[in-house]
Amino acid sequence: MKISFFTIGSFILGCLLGYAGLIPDGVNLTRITLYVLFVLIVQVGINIGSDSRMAAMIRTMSPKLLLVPLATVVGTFSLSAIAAALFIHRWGIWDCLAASSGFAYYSLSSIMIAEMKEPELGAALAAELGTVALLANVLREVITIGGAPLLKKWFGIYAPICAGGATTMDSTLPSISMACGQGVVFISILHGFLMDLSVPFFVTLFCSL
Amino acid sequence: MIEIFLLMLAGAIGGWLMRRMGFSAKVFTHMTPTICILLFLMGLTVGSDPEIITNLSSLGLEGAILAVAGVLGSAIAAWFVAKWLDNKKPKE
Repeated sequence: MKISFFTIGSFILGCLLGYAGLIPDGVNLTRITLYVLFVLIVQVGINIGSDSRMAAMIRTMSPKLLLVPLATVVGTFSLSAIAAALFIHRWGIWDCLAASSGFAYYSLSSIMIAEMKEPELGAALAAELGTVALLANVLREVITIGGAPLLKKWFGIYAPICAGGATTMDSTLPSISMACGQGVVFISILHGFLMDLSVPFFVTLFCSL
Repeated sequence: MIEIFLLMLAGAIGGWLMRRMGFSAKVFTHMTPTICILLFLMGLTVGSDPEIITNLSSLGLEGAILAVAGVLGSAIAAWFVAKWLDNKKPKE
């Protein structure tokens, strides 16, 4: 709980300082963020390498674990469709599912949606739907990073992985491995890889419906 | 994406070597501060983008609904998978 407070608090503090314009000119945030992410990935690697139980864990991995990405797809689309029908009236259900198809991969999904919906909705509305997708997927990533311990506590060991969607092989991997232990690192990477591949497919599918 | 794999591999080899040589890798594996820095930087990016901030009030709620639905839906499905896999385990 304390860790979630600090992580979400860091994000909110960053938002406030960014909004206040306190970033010095010439600072390339994307590049710095990428380097910090690299540090995290190396830390995850050291964790794996220094864990003596890792070899046994790899040997016991089962193909049944492919059910985890399937759960992500089914769960995300089912509840997103229900939520869209109940609470979001400005957009159609397929539009909302296209936004959910980012599975936290916000950069790719929002750009694809804004591009693909332009002929149908016009540039302004398509950009708005792209922004909804951006916010939905950024928030999904932030909720996963900050909420991984709670998700694990409430919904079990695979919940932080499913919540992290396409980001579980990079940005959310450190929080997932912290919350669920080193044993889930391989399924988390496999899950992230498969979900990454699925994003262009599902975005294209729902944009064309 | 390849650099992610290479960095993780390098870290894993480093961690393995440290374990073999009897060093504790603990000092390198405290990830909370790094995660906080990463989220702080993500916040800076979001907060400083005028396009996102201008649209935040009207579009933020829709994004938040879809984010919560996505997380909750997949977490519930994950719960079923965990239960199912648990039941498939041979009983001792």
